Amino acid sequence: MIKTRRLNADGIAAFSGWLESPTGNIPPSDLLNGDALTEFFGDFEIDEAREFESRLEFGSYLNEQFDGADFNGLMSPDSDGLWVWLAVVYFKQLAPAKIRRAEHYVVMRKGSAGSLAYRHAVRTPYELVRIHGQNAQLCLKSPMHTFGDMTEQLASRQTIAHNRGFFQTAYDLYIADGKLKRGASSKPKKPKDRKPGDMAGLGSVRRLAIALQRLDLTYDTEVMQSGLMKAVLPKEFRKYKGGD
Amino acid sequence: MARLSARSNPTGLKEIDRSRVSISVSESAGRRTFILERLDLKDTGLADNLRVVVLARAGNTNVRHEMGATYSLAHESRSLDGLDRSQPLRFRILLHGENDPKLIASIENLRPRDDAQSESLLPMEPAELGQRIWKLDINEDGPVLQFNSVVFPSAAGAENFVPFGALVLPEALRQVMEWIAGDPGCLVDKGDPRSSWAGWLDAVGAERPPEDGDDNEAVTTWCNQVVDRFCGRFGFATQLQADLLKGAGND
Repeated sequence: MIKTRRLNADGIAAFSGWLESPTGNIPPSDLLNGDALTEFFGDFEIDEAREFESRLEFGSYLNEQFDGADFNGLMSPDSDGLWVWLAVVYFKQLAPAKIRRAEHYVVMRKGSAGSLAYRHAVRTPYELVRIHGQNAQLCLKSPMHTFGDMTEQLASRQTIAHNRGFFQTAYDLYIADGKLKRGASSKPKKPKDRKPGDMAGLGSVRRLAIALQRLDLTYDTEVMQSGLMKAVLPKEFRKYKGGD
Repeated sequence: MARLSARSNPTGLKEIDRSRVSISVSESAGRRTFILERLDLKDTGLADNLRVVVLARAGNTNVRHEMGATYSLAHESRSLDGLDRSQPLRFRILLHGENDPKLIASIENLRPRDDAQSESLLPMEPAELGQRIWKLDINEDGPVLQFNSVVFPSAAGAENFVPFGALVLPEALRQVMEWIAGDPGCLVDKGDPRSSWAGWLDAVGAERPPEDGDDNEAVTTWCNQVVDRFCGRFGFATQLQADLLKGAGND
């Protein structure tokens, strides 16, 4: 076990530079514990050698280790260095073969289309498990090195990512025996491209995200319980409701 | 092609006029906070025990604050930490019963109070834009002209800097006109944020956009005509020339 640290501004810059031109399979050790680039963060410990089967397991573990920590504080820019440091610690599992774009390892709050913080490989698993518990498996069943289209669809907008009723509803609709139901993540065709009777993609989780945006106009959806949310969903979701 | 308005109100939601609300935003030590200064529900017929929620959003980020009941609203400052600072900041106020999430009333698309330009068609807002000086952000709520908050301390500072007005505003306006020309019917759809530009076009004596929004040549010609009228009205070339001569006289 090791005490948690965070990268300082120089450390984040050094890691970002290394990601652009990596000199090996893992980041240099001074990004892990060098006093010039890192500093201790809080009074927490992590097992740097532990391996995780999925991002869900990873997020659950981090929630155990950060039990009692101020959630808003950990999500604030002041804690960005912690998440980047954790990405350094578990880099071998997060990028076993290929290094992805920098925002998967460095918290990037600016992008051409807005904040990219939701793509962070450590911060988002912690955040989603903290908010949704096991319902977060909708996004986090993937292996450590995989971000996944479902995460892109659901975590990219905070109105969805933080909505407990939505994740509970999505879990109820699309997860059976711990697996995603067939067609749940299908991409629906645009109305102009859809032939009469073509129902492909309708009722999928992408459509649920659109339904939430519509419900948002008439309900305070952040305090809406899953039961009510399911009750007012359009007919296209019936096939996933099962015994309802 | 003209767009059909799809507005309906199946739940009887009451829309409260924005003029009844005032929200101010301040910044200290790099942290932004807001205060719900005023929420005037007099003569609206709404109960005085509704729950009030303020949602602040910027781009794909948002924060939520419970402000208490309508009869005992919280007026202390609340944090805006976590919002994307490169995107325009907007507020939404929701009112609903104690244990019922169905909205009774809402106030949408609120901007923080800015006495200088509270009803501007093209609001200007500071943003963290890196090395970029300005950017026109167009979303479902309408256009916002963002200026680099490091270069200009306020909207007035940017507007009063003659080169900014002369060089930036015409191009920003041209982009807004392209946005309008893409759906000419939007000007008569009261539910569309672009409809508020109809009166402005009339005021500057500009024609309405071409009926065929896909006719690129006609759209370009129309946009340029509108920009010419706008520049003529404000005499940007004359202003800039005078400003440059003034600078030369000081050499």
